[in-house]
Amino acid sequence: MTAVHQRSSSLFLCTVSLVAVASAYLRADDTELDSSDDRVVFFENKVRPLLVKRCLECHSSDAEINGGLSLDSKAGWQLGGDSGPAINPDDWQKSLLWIATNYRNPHLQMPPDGKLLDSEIEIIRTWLSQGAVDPRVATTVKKTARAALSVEESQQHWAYRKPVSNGGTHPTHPSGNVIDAFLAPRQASAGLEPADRASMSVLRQRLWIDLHGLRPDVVAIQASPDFNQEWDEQAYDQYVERLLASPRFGERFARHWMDAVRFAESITLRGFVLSDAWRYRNYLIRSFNSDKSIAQFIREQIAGDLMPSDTVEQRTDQLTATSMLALGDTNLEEQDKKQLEMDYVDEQLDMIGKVLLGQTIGCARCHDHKFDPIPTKDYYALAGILKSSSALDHSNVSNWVRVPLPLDSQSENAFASMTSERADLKKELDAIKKRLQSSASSSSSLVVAAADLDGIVVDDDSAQKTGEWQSSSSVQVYVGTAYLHDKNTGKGTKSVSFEPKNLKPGTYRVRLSYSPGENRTKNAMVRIFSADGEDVVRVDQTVKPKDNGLWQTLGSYRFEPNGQASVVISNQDTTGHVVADAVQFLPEAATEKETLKESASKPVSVSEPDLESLRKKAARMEAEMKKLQSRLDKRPMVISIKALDKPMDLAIHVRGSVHQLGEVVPRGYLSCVPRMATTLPIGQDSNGRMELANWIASDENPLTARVYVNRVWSWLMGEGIVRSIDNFGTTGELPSHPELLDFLTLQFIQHGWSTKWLVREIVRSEAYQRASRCSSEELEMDPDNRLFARGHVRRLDVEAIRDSLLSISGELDLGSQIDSVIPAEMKEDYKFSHSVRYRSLYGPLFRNSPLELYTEFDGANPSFPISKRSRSTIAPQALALLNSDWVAERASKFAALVASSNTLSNEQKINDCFLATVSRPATEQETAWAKSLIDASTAHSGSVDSVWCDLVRDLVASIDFRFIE
Amino acid sequence: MMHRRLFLNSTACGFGSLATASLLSQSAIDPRVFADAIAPSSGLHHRAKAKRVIFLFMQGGVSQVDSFDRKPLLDQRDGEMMEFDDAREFANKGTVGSKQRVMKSPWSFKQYGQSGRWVSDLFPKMAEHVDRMALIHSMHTEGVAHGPATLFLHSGSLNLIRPSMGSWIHYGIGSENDNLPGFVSIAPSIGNGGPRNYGSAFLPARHQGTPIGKAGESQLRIDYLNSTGDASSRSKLDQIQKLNRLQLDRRATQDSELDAVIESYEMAWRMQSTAPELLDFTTETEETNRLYGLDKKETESYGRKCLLARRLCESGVRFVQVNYGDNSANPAWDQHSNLPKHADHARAVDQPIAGLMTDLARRGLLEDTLVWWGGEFGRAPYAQQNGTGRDHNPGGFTVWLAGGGVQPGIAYGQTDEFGHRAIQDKVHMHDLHATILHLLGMDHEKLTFKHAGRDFRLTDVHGRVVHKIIT
Repeated sequence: MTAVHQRSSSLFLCTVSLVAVASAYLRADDTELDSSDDRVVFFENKVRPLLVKRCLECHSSDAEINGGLSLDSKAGWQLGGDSGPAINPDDWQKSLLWIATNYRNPHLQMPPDGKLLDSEIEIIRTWLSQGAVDPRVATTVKKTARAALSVEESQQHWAYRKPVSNGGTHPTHPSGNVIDAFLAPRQASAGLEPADRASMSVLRQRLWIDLHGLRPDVVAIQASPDFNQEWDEQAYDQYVERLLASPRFGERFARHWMDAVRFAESITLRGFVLSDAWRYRNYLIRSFNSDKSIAQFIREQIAGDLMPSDTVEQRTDQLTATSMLALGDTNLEEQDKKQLEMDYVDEQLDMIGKVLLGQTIGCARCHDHKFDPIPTKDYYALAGILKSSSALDHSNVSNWVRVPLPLDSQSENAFASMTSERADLKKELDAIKKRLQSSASSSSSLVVAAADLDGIVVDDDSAQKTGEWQSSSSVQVYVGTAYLHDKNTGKGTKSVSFEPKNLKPGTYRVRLSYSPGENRTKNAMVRIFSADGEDVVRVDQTVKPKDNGLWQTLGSYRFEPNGQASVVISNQDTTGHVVADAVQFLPEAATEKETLKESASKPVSVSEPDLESLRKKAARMEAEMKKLQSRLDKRPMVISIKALDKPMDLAIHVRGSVHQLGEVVPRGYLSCVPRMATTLPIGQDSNGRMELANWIASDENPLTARVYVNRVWSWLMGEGIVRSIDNFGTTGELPSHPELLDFLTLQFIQHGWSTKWLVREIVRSEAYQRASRCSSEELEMDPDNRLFARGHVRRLDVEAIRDSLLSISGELDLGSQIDSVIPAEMKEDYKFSHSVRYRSLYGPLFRNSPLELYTEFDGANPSFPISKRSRSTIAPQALALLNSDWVAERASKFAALVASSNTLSNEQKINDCFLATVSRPATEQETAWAKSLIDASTAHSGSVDSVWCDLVRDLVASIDFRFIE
Repeated sequence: MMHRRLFLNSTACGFGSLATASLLSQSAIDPRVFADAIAPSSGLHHRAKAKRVIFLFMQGGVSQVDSFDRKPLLDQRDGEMMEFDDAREFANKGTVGSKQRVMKSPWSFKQYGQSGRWVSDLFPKMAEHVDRMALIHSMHTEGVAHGPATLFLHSGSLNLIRPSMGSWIHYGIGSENDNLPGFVSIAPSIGNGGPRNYGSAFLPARHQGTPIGKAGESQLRIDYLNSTGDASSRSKLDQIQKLNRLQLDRRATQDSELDAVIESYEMAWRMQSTAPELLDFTTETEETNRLYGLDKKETESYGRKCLLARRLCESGVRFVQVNYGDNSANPAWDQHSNLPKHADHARAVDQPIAGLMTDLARRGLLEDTLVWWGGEFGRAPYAQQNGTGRDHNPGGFTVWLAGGGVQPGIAYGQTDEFGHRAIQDKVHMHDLHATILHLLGMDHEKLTFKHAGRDFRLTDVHGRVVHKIIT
């Protein structure tokens, strides 16, 4: 539905009021009706029963008021529903009621379970055309709106208020750490004795897992200072600094961020590989390693493409950062492209809201947010900003946007000259082709045997014909003995379908042959059905086919085993004769060779020697162009979005429908966040994304820094101060220690939004260092550890399990910022088999073929923004550890190393196994356990390697490998 | 009770043992109803008529006018150019009314059973079971392309990431067998949504469907389940558990999560002992094998999957999806340009499905097993681009239900006289979802999960139970 209804938009604006009584309408035009009026009689006899029978079940104030529309009174339909008044007595044919009951608009069909009978529609026609007389008077017509917080009220909600500094003062604590000072009072008042500092071995494991995402390797264990025998704060701090300075730190934090922004390198549907996504991953690693200001980090991800830059590196980072907006798991195949674009924007908004602002903005797509002060108009104000940039190029399957990355001036020049070289070549080549064509049309007269041609050729005699086709051989060139034409009759009823037999999967250049002539059609319809869907090409058959006068290239298409593969020529919407002769499927790899061969032989047999040399030249040039193109294709590109020339404001989509538009809202921000001094209005011609980036990343924004500080806290402390990490709205949880959160936030901003500063503050607190053991009384007093009086048990995430196993087996390659490991020719992720030995975050992270163990061990679903991974303990995990060949191979590699030593005693070897897997020496009982295992196993199998392998596998399956105290 | 919540959230050792409990913690359901729900014959919100579902997924879209929805007018007007509202054109360009060539069905129809329902020669074996089926001729759905429509069929959403129906059902009523996964998808295709079609999205991971085998591969196996791995040896498992207990004791702290680790190994052991037997068909008789078509090359593949479905149902699995698909973006039943190829696919599934129906019935399983046959959409009654195939048609198509709580031998709803659009007693995919949940004892409006600040449902804000097809 395209009509814009003023009524619906004004209803949307009165979001604050609870009940909008349509009293104005009750009084409007109720002139007294005479009950003997024919029209009243007609209403009572015909219309009222019809309404009762077919409409009121869903549209009455006694039952449901679906779509906001009640039809049980005149006032009801006058006021109308979400789409506006149901009946327009002045122009009845434009009434929504009429349109809906006639089923002409597929988005608005009533009743929904089947069209009215013709006789019933006739009743409606009569009623409406006579002025829709309706004697029914409503008692009340209610539009029930809901009760979200008003914008004024909302600003009392803690998260929308600025962090409080308390004049810069804060409590103190014997440890000297401010965090402990903020935590102590509530622990004391709850009667909780904070746990002692954890052991050296435990602290080392924590720091490694939290800052690097790995178990400490044996060398690190043996080399690290004994900072806990006698607590040596300085040694601890130095150890932390060393870990922070390592490239592993950026990898670990990048992985966290990748969860939050639903990073992946392919799309679920059809498994399309996002071949440039890895650049964004490396950008994240760089940013965390260099401790980039998080404000800048956020600005780059929202609007890097719109920011000024000084260097190639800076520009590269800025463009790469915007990939964040374009990595959603979108359904590019959606045929309703309007819908697709809005779904795309919705996905972006949902992610931005949760990750950066802690807001569930997506709730306001269809209606005002039920709980938070986010009206629908705010949603569309933000959506307008994102919609003012294009993220998709549409076709049957839409494509994401790639932009070239900047290069140093030398390479930039090289690419520029290649581009112009290619343009020159093309110009010359086109000219030659034109000459060849005109000479061919005057001289050639040929019949080509299908068997002489390369690739798979389907001639007309083996094609499937629909309708009557005439075979003819009057005009040459053609393939085989004849060609078909439609006799220029029966337009729209005839088609010929060419289906290749035994077509091997792959990409083919598909070419059509027809004998041209003046009486031919200028727009024969040719449809190509391939693995990527259908494509339509119109062919002008009055001109000679471009390739040697025989073939017209339709395009290059991919075909899959058992997938569709056919070319259908039809005479739909044509004037003039439609000719169907043959279709050739030429393997892409062979086309170059073919072009040469063809131009050197067949159609040339009757032409002059100079034409011959021209053809050879053309072939050479084509080959040259191809080479150039493949070099040009090597230009580094990145996934991004493109600002539109003309930014747009969006209309509210009533109930989220792209086909039901309401009032247009100017681009803007969330109105629940108090106006900030630094906020700039969005100019009419300005895209708005830069303004949005600045608004989000502003020191003044009460949400952004808080949300980030809380997020980092949760990465290190297990839970957030606000436990609903991506929901700071009224349905989210309240902060357990609001003053602490505010203090850290303000300090974080003061320290230039520095992540490493924040990490240092937290890991230096006693709260971070406390042991996780506690008595059952203490457990009972604070089961969820909301007061942080003890440490939390860390669970190795799937990346840490994998990386640690690779590290144990000696296979882990610790290269940093690894380039893409996806083969260039891989276009779909389905069949990728992971064999790479880099850290797991280098993946590739494919949505259809996850890494080994990823699904079982709670890997983040890469289609959602994930703030906290689930912690499941399920049997498939046990099965995977016990039965996975991948795990077995890692264990056996390490076992072989252990077993091969001739100098070590069994006891020493046991200890090595424990150090490598659980990062500590074996206890006495564990040693005894291991010895008995080795004895039993030796008696059983006899092979030394397998004995040690058994031990290592048991250790990997043990609690202490997967859970750090 | 202080650990109850933590325990419930983190320690589902069985695939489904605590599913209902999670529901309790998520929404305010009367505890009496909850207690009732543990008794398998009762539903969560009302008495259930079916305990489990077998969904025979015909991926790609079977043509309704060539199978169950006979339209004589197509024969009369074959070849005529007429105006139709094509769904793809509408989605792409927003236009309605384009000239299309009416194409009759290449198959003839016969009447079957007491009910005298018409079925085409595509499915002569399945046709013998029409008196058990409720044919719904008036289905309509969302999505013109396979990806969106397939996701919609499974999750009720075209594009947004939502839990699959099987996950919702498992979340609602759990499983009847703690030793096995409660939601299984046999040989799922990796295309058109792939894992999202059996994914739990924001529902807890234990409601995730477990794939057995893959489309295009003959082997039916569960990941990490094998008879040679460590989980198959009790003595090896005892070793590991001994070490785990040592480590647990050393921590000297009560921790339900770590207790759960120990339990998860016990569960793995039980699965390892149960599941391989389930995948081993040697105990089946020759007669049963023939019934499912295992003796013929063309029916062997789908027959094995149907047989496995029956075995899973017997073992208490809640939702079994039996996929007929392949691993391309253009799935099996997708005859855009060559309609006669429908016959190949029909041959592959006809005997196995008929066999499954016979087998379920004679074992008494059909009484409380809901069988659902259908695709993500239907096909158009006219030739696509004037060629020799049919394009997708989400506006009207046929599915059938049979078994637990379904009226046998009925036909419900109608398409127009060409079989293009559902016009009478229309049943939207949301309605079908609502109806299936209803049959299993759940109210689709009450089966909710809180995520991202609001309650989500399988049917979003839509869906109506089709009471007329229920006994």
